[in-house]
Amino acid sequence: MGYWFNDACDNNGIIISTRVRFARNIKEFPFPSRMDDDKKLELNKKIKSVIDNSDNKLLKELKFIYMSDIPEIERYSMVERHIISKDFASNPKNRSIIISNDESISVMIGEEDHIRIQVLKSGFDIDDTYKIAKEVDNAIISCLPIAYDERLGFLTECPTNLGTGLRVSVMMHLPLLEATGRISYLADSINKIGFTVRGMYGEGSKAVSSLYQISNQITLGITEQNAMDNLKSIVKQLIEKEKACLELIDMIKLEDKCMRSLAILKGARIISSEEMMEHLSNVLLGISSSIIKDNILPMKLFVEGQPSMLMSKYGDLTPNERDIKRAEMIREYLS
Amino acid sequence: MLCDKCKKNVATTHIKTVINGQVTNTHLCGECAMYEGISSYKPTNIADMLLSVFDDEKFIDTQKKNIKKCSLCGTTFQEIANNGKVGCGECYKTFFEELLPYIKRIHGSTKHIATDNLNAHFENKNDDINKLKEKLKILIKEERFEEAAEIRDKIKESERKE
Repeated sequence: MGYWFNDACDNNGIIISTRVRFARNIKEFPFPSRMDDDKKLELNKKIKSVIDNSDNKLLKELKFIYMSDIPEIERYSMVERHIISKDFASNPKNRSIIISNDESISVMIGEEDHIRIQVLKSGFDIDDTYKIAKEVDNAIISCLPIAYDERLGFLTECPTNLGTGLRVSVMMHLPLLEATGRISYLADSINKIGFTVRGMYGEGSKAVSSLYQISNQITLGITEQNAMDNLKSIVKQLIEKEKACLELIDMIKLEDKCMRSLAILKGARIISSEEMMEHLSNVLLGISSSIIKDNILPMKLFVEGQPSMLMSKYGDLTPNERDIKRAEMIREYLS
Repeated sequence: MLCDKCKKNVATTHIKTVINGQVTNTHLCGECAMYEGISSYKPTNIADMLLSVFDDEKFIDTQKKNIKKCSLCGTTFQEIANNGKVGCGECYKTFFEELLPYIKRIHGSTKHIATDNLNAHFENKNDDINKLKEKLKILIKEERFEEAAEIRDKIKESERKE
């Protein structure tokens, strides 16, 4: 398995990725926002020793890295690859990450909760993603005294994660539901049944390039299986609804839009990340509506063309130099 | 097509109004539609939601009376209410009564259902609720969202009675 953005999207480009996250905390330790530096260091050491001494096959393959040992550009490029949160990248002190080679498994230590386990895979694969996350979770929590209450489940810094501490999210590309204005009332209905529709970078973020994250909002009073089953059926319906919108669209106009975007990406000499994302969204739409049949991975360019990703590969660049380098990288890939 | 109101953004909400046979078409962007109260879609911010959950009269009353502190981390309920963050696992015991109404408002339930071995134990106890939950699953599958919302309310009601 490679990086998630190097794989083709599922359902003809409608589903980008699947993410499963568990929030866990250690008993007798204050939650991260109330910990002093000594306590934070103790937390990191405690968890490091669990990883170092584990017999579990998955845990043995993970690397423990202090965030302050990772250069700033590399930290922000991890945000762009959806491995860590922005806050985690900006405040590296006394925080660490435990990560697999392909970055599909990552555990943030000292984020909003002591332990945030994440498994991220390309496409639509809730079951498998959950299975891996559960194994990592079991291996870690069986070695530590975990803050757990029979009535409230896993105790978390924010009460919105109480109970299972499980958040499952699926990233979808829904340009037609967005263009026809349907996404807003669908989001309303989805909100009513305990699920949420958010922008690409999660909480509080706006939808960029018609990319939406669908995830469970409720974690208490619902089994893990129920949350996943319901999410699966919502996602399947959204796929159908997005496809159904094709019938309402003037095909020649759609073809024109997608092919123009592809041509711009193939020809541009200077391109900002915003412009790149807009055209890549149209290319994704072209792929999902079978207009573009080339073997292109728009999400690969989408992620690799982000500012910090470019700088971690090509060194320090001014915004203008970045725009030139980005265009060069895209042309090279598409040629 | 541009939004009729701001004339800047692309219109994504289209409203057809028929009054006494007269048809009016309005095209708005997401932001203007939200402003007009037609669509309520906006990216969810958990912190904002939580703050609004805590921001009511009952909270202010509790705040005045409460000077209790968590024995492990020293957090007061006021601090929890101010930033929506609980201090430590012990706080949930210390402020159980105070937190419970808010937890219920967030999740609609205050009882964890354990996965794995504990599942069977809980299922017998909550047979009726589970039947309703099964029904809810089917309704969601069949896209009957209005009915699903009704069943969800019934589940909440039954859980409250328990």
